[in-house]
Amino acid sequence: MKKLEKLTDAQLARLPQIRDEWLAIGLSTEPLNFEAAKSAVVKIYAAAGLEPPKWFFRFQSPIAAAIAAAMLKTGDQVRDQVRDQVGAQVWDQVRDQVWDQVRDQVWDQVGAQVYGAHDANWLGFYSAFAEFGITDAARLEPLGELAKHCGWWAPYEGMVILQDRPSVLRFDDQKRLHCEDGPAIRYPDGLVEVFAWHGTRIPREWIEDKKSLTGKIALSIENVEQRRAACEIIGWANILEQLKAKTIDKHENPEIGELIEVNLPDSGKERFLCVMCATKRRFAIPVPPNMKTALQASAWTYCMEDALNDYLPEVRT
Amino acid sequence: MKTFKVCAAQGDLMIRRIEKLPDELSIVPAENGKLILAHSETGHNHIVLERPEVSQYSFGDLLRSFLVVTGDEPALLEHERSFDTHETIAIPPGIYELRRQREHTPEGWRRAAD
Repeated sequence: MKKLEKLTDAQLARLPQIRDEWLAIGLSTEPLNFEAAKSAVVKIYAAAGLEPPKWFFRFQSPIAAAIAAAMLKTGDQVRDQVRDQVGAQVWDQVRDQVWDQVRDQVWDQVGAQVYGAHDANWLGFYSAFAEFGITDAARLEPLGELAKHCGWWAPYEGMVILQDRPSVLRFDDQKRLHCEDGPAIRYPDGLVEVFAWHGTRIPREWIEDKKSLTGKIALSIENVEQRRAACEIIGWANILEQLKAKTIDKHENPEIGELIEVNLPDSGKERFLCVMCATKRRFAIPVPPNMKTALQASAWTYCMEDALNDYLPEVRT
Repeated sequence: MKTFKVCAAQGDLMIRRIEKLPDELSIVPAENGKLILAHSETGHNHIVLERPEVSQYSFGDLLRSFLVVTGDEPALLEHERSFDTHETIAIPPGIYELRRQREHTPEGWRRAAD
């Protein structure tokens, strides 16, 4: 067959559209369409040279599907067979440049943004080639059809497990998982709920029982990102006021930061270095009580408090 | 892309040029084609792609390891996160000490974890 040497203007214009179509598939919160999914599965099995499954199981969350998969583990998994025999080999039929163009716009951009249907990026990538006339890529169409109607799935000999997509998926304006008043991801049966604050996973109670999250708890969280998230949920100003924070020293460079002393209920005075990260987020780092300046505290975090003259990094990102 | 002569920091990882390596080092193997200069428990590692001109060494210290870049090309220090990403830093050829950030605890200190 003829090799695809170059994309036409019309094909190039289709790439962002194909990307958006597959983003919508990957981020869909529609319930599983059982009949449409069944029909796609039958086509996939046929393409892989397998008998159609006798049993179609539907589960509403990954945990339910995983438990069921463990309990039902009688048949052989045929995933590899499906992958190998249905899988498309379009490399030989496409020029490098074309490959890169489609890969950048569809595979990478969809892959970076979908949380539910993790196959959406590569299926979208191949669907573009199918549309541009690469017949081998068209063999993946039943897999694409299934992705449009179903969440994760697992093929076995004689049976298939189909799983619903999340019923809730929420993001902030930078496409990070985020929801201030509920789960950022929820599956229809409620067995899986993920709470997230601007991309950082957090415990459920920080969202559902905000009053339980105090400044003292927030500052004692071990994970730096979760500590920052907790401080943002309460509000930095509220924390500093709640804990009667006092500025000990402030460096002119916000990346070196401000050394503060807070009064933690039941444990007394502690010092923190509040810094603005290069990613424009504010972090609080606990430092020893004998720190006198922000620069000294900053150097201490890298064991360089005795070599202040050598300390300052030229660039911070 | 940013670069530096003596000292730079990317998130909680600091890199400083030094004269020579200490003795008794062991080589840190690459994982899946990457040298993980700073491991993150949520998978947002700071990495350099594996190639023969770049080697990482440890001596069992939680906070310090070493990096050697030979040849003419800089090694690129990348942060593996799709959001709030720390900008890539070009590490010129040379010998470096890598330092992780620590935090105060009532018992002493712990390595900062993200």
